Amino acid sequence: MKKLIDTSCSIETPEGIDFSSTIAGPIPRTLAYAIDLGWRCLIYLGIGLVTIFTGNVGVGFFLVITFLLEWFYPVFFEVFRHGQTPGKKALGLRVVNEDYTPVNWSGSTIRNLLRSADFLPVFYLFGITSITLSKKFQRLGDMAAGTVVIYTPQKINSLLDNEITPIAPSQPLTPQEKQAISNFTLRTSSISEARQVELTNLLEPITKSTGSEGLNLVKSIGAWLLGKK
Amino acid sequence: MNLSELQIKPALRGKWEAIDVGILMAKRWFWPMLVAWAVPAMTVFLILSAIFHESPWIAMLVFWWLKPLFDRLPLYLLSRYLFNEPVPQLFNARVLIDIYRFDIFSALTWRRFEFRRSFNLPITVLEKQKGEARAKRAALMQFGCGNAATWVTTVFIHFEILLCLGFISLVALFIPSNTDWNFLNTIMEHPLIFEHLYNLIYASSVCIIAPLYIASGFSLYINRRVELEAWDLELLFRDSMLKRPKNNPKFASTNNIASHLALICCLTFSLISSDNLNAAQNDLNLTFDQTSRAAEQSKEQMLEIIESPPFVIEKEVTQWEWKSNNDTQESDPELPEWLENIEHLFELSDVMKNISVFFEVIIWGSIALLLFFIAKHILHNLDLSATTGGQKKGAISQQKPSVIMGLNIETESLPDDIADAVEKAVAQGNHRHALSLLYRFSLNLLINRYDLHLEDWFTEQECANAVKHSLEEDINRFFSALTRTWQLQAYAHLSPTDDAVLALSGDLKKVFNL
Repeated sequence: MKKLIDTSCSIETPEGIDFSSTIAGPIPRTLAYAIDLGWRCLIYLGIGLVTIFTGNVGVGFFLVITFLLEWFYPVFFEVFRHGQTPGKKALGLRVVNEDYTPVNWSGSTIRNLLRSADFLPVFYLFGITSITLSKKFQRLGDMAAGTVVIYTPQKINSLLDNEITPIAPSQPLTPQEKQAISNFTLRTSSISEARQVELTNLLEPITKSTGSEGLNLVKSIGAWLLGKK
Repeated sequence: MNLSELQIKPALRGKWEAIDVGILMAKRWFWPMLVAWAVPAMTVFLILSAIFHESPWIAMLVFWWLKPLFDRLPLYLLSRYLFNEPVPQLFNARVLIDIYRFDIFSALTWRRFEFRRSFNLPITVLEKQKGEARAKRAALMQFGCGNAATWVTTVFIHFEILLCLGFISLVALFIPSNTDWNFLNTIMEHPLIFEHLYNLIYASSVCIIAPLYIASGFSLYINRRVELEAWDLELLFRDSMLKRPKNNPKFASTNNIASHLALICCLTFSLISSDNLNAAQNDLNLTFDQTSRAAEQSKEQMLEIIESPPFVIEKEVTQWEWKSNNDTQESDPELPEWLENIEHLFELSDVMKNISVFFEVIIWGSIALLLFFIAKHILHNLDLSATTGGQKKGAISQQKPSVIMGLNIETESLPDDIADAVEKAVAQGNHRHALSLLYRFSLNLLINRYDLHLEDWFTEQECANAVKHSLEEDINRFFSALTRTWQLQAYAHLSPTDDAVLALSGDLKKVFNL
């Protein structure tokens, strides 16, 4: 059987701890780039409007600023803003080394200087192809610098229904079961009632009941597991 | 649709993550999807190009307009692959017509310009919904991820154009610049051929992008289904219930504990009834035997494993070889020649010698400098302590401590004849008082006669150190002996013998010339 399709990738530390993160693919990265490009264009426009009236000195200044921004805008944000340019932040992305340590000066500089390779032949075609084809969604610059773009973990902010009275489970549960039941309790608002009953009927060995009675019991156990006492 | 056969890791993902999973799906089943898209599409495109060969733009427009139809078959295939289901006979005309014909009118008219096309497509193709029901279903599904679906379409439209232009400019980049053949002129002379060529390149780019586009939208749709129907939870629930057999291991373990308890009870009872004592002991010995035998066995097994290949690599060597210096021999050979060459070429041996002398001078020079600085540092410190001592002397003459460590050491508080007072105290058996007198008296002398710098916050040890650094050896010896004795008496309540106290008293006289 082939491996199940998944974008998460885990790294094992020497201490035997698994760190798992989800790697970001071409679409969100393209959008993040577009946002950054938009910001840069706004800056160029602003500076251009100011310097257009100042003759050659102004043009020189404009060119220097353009050069610096074009090459070091991402480096600055990646090193000083936890690997997130404004575009990446908007999409919830982050640049890290392949072992999920924060990216440093050399890594960030390499990956951004090699944009010139990704840019070929027009507008990042090689970069997009490389991201799509490579195993860890890396463009050429990422491969050279040994970096990946991952999603920053998002907090699920679903609220627990206050009407549920927490009940302690009557028998010991495995960690997997605990996780499943508490996830279910948190997600009940997006699942239809009939489906909820269908799902909780599967848990009959734990609840010893079916139907809406079983559903309520599972929810109560979930609330208890989530720390409501 | 069998959930347990789902080929993606069941989990509720964010919308962007779901799109990435779509990319992976497209990568895994790229070729079948490409064929399913390209064969009908390119056939139609070529026929259209042949019909409208005078005006290729019409062919392109019609081809472009029909794109939603071409997307259907790959999506159908993908939905089968996703659940690891067998693909029915594709060349069954009825199935194909059914797929393409369903709700074709609205798909090609007002819904042609739908921006969430790839996301909505499964509702039409797989759920077979149309009209009002489709609109309702789409609205429900799009909640929370609709804008991501829009972005998928937007981005992939750009990717199509990018791929097309990129290919053309890549070819252009590889045309040598000094050839006579002028690319642009040729194009200008035959604009129709160029247009057809461009159409072909564009259609091919669309073919390549299509599986990615379809799979991205489909994956987003699947993720929404996972959210609404909790597929991942169903699989988790089923899985954990399967892992929970009738004899739950946890219950088994509690049973174990119970049986252990019972066993312990039995043992105690049998111990109480002395008849069974021996039997029980035999039992215990037996189990010990068993465990030790098992341990030996496992040890043997471990040894076997450790002595087998991955841990021990044996190889036969039939040649003589140097025991050590292997590495240097391997890396050396080039270096001497190289150096010799250099010496030959430039006759640099003298220079080399000079260089070595130069470095020798530098090394010795730096050692000398280092020594100089160390000496300077030490001298400086000595100076400093001397001067500070001097300064403090002045300060002390103004302000000598009258109490150290809570001991009053003023002359008035001490008896005139110290030896007599000590003897009396010893005779009374009050060693503490005797030693206290001796200690205070010495401190008083040290401060007043020798102008020793002591502060009222000094500890015994600090006083002793001050004496050690500033005064002559016999005073130091006496004072440190006194300090030790006093500390033992004061803190450890270990009284010295009478003789020892008297000896100290005698030493005091001798040392301070009283």
